[in-house]
Amino acid sequence: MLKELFDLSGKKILVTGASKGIGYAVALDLVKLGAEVYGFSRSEIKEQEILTYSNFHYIQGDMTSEEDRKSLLEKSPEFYDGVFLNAGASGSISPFHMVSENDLRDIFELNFFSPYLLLQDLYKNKKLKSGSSIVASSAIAGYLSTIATSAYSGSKGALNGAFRGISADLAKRKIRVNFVAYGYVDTDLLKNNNVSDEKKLFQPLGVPQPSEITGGVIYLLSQASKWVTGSTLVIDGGIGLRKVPFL
Amino acid sequence: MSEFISLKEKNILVVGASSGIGKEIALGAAEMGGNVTCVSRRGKFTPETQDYGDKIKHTILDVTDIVSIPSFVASTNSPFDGLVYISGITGKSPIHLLEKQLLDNVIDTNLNGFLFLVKELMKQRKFNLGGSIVAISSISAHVGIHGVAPYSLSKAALSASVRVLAQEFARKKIRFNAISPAMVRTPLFLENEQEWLNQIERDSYPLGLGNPEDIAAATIFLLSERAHYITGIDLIMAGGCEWVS
Repeated sequence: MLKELFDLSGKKILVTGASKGIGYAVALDLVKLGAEVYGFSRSEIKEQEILTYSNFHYIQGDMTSEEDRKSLLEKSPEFYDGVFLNAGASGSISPFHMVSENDLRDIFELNFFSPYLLLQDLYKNKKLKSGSSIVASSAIAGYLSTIATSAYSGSKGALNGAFRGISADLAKRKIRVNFVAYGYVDTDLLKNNNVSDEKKLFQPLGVPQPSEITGGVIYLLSQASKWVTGSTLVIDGGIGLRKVPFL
Repeated sequence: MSEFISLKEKNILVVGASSGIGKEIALGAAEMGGNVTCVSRRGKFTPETQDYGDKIKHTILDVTDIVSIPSFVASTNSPFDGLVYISGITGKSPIHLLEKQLLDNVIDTNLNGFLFLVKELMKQRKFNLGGSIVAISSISAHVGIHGVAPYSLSKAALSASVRVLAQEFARKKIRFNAISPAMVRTPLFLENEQEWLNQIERDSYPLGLGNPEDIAAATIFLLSERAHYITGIDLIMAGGCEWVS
């Protein structure tokens, strides 16, 4: 029965970057579907709908801090059925010659090193159940790069390569690792980078709200995708088809 | 608690539905509340099942008989919200044994039937705006597999067609996606092939060979509203098979 494969009720899911944007939307959908959701974020969640659900467990902390990652492990349940490694940022979008070493290292810290190390901590501490599913937020920019995105695209490209390798390492343990790659989504990342309405028109199906594109992550977290690992689910309203400049 | 996926009130056309993956997709779409029209050369499931009998209708069509497609589409009552195209023949043929007839048969079944069905559904306005089309392609469209040039090239063309059509129909919010599975354990494999299958599974598939339900679940997801910003993708499903990644 397919319905059972899509069922996430009672499943323990960790979502990083859960305070806003796509992370918040996914966490909210998961609690509505009955999952036990552990939301981790740097900025505090307050007065938001998700706090009214008793199956939402909030853990505040900074992904890039070793100490906070340790505290996350302590506050975690015995094991997770799924992890959505969503926390990330675009950093400052600037041309190659203007990228400072600090900016470059910061963006790699947030988009590459911390999700890598967090997943390693979870795995070494046996927090990932056999049959569990890891979903990492990639981006179309991870493989389609344009002007002024070298730092961001580089960090996402590194994530793609490394996590495909991790998927091969963990397949024998029946732990799956997949990606979602988003195009334009109406989040702070778009606003902060002043993406023009004209550019948004390049996305054939338009620019969705975060709450409209949670389905892909939920499919990959569920047993409905139990035969999928190392794959990228592109959720980009068709923008990647034309290889148009991005961001 | 809310429900993740529903195909309630949706009319779904499943082409190549008589057995294996197609049958599982048809049953899955009905389970999710869809009204399913199954199309196959035989016009019924093999082996028979009465599951969701009131939600599933069977029709006979030979997709390689392209001149019959317009009248088939005209004979359908209401417009569709979903199309799944699974019809396919393997046409194993190392190049020194290649024959034109075999190549034509493979391309007619795996590719041309899809293109002309889409053409007629759109031309006769039998497909609703906002609908979703899923073509079952193959991992062989992406990697080199010994001895199956006709099959591989037909699936690669199917995957390419999906990308083009996704562009052409984005304005009408009709989505086109492909799924490219590696080896799936279907009832089409014979009794004497089971040991060979098990060996492949042990050697190359850490997550095991695929089950028809895995392909059905991905298809149902792509058909549903939950995937309504996904178009032009080709989802690789390979159970961790190393020579794929």
